[in-house]
Amino acid sequence: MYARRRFTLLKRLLVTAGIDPDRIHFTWVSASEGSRFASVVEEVTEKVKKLGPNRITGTRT
Amino acid sequence: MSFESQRSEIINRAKNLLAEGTVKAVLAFAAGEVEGNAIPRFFRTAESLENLKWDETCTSNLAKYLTEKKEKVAILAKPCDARAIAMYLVEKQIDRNNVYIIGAECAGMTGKDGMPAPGCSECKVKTPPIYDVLVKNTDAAMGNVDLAAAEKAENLEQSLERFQNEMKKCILCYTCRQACYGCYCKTCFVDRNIPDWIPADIDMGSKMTFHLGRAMHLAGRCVECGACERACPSGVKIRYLIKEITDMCEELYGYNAGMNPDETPAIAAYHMGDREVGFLGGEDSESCCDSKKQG
Repeated sequence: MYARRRFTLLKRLLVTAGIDPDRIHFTWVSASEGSRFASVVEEVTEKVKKLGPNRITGTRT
Repeated sequence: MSFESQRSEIINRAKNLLAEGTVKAVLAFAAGEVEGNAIPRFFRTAESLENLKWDETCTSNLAKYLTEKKEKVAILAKPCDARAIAMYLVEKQIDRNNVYIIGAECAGMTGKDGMPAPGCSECKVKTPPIYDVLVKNTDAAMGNVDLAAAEKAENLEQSLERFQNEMKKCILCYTCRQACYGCYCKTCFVDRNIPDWIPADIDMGSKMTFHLGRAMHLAGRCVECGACERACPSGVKIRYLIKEITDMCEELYGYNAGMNPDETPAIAAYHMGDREVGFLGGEDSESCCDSKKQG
């Protein structure tokens, strides 16, 4: 619940800095929700793959 | 004019405090070695108070000097200093009984170029939110510029360009961190090497990591004193980044840092009705997890 506020603010910060907020994800998964965990991981992986490498210039790598 | 009358009132108050033994020292400004500079100083005698400087060059945030003090001191506090003190009280960094706050109403300070100092042109707080005694100022406040509205980027590309243009100027000297009231950690995350957050060379990624990290650490804590930009030797305009989150804290959680020393900071609290925009399973998401959303 504290994290919810933090992630809301972090996402706004990333938009301001020009970084796609879809690059980070946050949700709640209970220890008993194995299949939900799997589907969340799949969804996140798919979204991030679709976005590809970021467009930040001037870095070493 | 009003600075002059405020100054004599401040000196009188300070002299009384020292004479009564209420405080051991008075933290205020003195003239610096460079003409037109005001530097922070602890005054310990009535005679030394004649050197107290109070004019439009007194831009520094004095609150930063309180955290290491063990004795009782009086502090000359502009609204931004007072907000920083209030945040120190909220975060339990200082003891209220050890500080006597001489609040000074402030109409805004001037930078070396004669323009309003960073922070002052947008400042809407003229009267310190907390004080033990208030020294009034009859001048009208400067605050009329909206930093967030100015140069608003339209899309992510423009935002990134703006951010990277500022970052190109940054030399990672960490002066903004040293000047900031809120950066009082004994060891900053960028000084740690396990893990090595910021490698020991100047790289765009390092600079972005530092400034984004610092912005998040100031979420809901920034008192908008402008110390970071005044201190920056390279002229990096970094406040817009933090201002965005500061505004969001006010908009979403109704929280203004340092306005009330009894209020819980925005990110140390939560409400069951807080919005979840952009989250997996959040209210605007078309996520596969929607059907399994927890109550």
